[in-house]
Amino acid sequence: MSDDISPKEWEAMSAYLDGQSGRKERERLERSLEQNPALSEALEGLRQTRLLLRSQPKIRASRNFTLSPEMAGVGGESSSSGLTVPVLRMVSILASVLFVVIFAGDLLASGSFVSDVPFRSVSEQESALMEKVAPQLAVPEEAMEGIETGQADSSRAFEMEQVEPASEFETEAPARMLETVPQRSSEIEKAGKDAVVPGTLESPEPDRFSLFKEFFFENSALRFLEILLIVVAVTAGVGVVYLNRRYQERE
Amino acid sequence: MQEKTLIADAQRGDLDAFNRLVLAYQDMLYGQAFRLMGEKYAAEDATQEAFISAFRKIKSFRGGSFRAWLLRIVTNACYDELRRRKRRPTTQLEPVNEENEPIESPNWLTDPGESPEIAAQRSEIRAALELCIQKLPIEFRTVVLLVDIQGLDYTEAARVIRRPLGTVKSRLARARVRMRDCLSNYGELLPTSFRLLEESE
Repeated sequence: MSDDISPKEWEAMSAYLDGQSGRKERERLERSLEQNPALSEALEGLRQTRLLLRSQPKIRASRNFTLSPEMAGVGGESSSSGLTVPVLRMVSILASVLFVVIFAGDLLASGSFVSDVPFRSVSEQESALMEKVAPQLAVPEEAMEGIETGQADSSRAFEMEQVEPASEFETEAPARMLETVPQRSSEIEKAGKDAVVPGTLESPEPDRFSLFKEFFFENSALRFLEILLIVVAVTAGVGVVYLNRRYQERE
Repeated sequence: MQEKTLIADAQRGDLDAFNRLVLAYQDMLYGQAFRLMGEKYAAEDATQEAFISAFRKIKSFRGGSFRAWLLRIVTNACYDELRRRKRRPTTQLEPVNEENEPIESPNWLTDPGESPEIAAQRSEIRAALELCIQKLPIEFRTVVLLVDIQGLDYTEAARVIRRPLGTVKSRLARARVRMRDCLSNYGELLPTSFRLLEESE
């Protein structure tokens, strides 16, 4: 009998028994049932089968299936650990973000120790150089007088073409001054070389370590805060990884 | 206490509330697992596994039929176990007798449909029905259990098996036809109306 009826007809009859067929489908099937006795018998067989299945007694559980805390994975720690991971994750993210913001702000505000410190050290070099060279730059008084007199005389000579030559003393002074100046210049140059401080524009290899030390200890409170944030971020991140791994193992 | 309240409490991690739900639904879940697996211990394992899984996933339950949600979990647990068994079959392909000789027609290969007298000796229509259910392909068995045994409507059954409504309709019809054909082998066990129908054919 099963072979005479198409799968679509069986499907329509099955849905019809469950009241799941649409109005048109139901009407079509009812017409077919009136015309085809084989179909009616098939429907009756299907109805009986359905009744038998639905009259089956409920199976009672063979034992109790309630969960113990161990089975549910809620023994002691886990109720709090449900919150621990999200909290740790949030702490790690916040600490990282805060660190980046503070560090970037710090670098911008101080102009960074890489670019700013050499600039400052140039001015420091200048002052150091001046301090060392200053005593040598001092020209003796008589030389100064000579310079002044010589300048006066020469200017006068410029004005009056036919003038008597100046006295020996008066003409010696500028000459001595001219001798002295180159000598002083070489001394200055030498002193200047001695006075060069590391990290200046004249020095191609600045002492990075001292610059870093200067930058680091300039604002120790800020450095401490930055280190603290890094430690918090890393510790919380490691904690999250560890707890997640434990949960996975447990599952 | 209302089911909704118990579910809400369980979602907040209240194990006692969840265990009250377990007590309310354990017969249903065990029955489904037993009829899908066909044996007690496998059904117990699947049921326990399903409840543990349900507790872990209960926060993801967004309302609707809690019964259908649980049935989906236990059905999936049974499918997983059946797949594992398929990968690692435990029955020998060529069983042997006590003298280590292969058995030509082992009893585990016999079709209960072919020998209704043996089944009739059990004198229980219930046994015949269970045997016919076990003979159904797993996808047909699941649908017939959900609709005819557990009493789910087509929509709920479709949610459980995660298939369209049309699939439920067609699988259920084919399962019922197969059940009907199978039960006809146990004519003497069937109710009178059923027997009369068979005789008329």
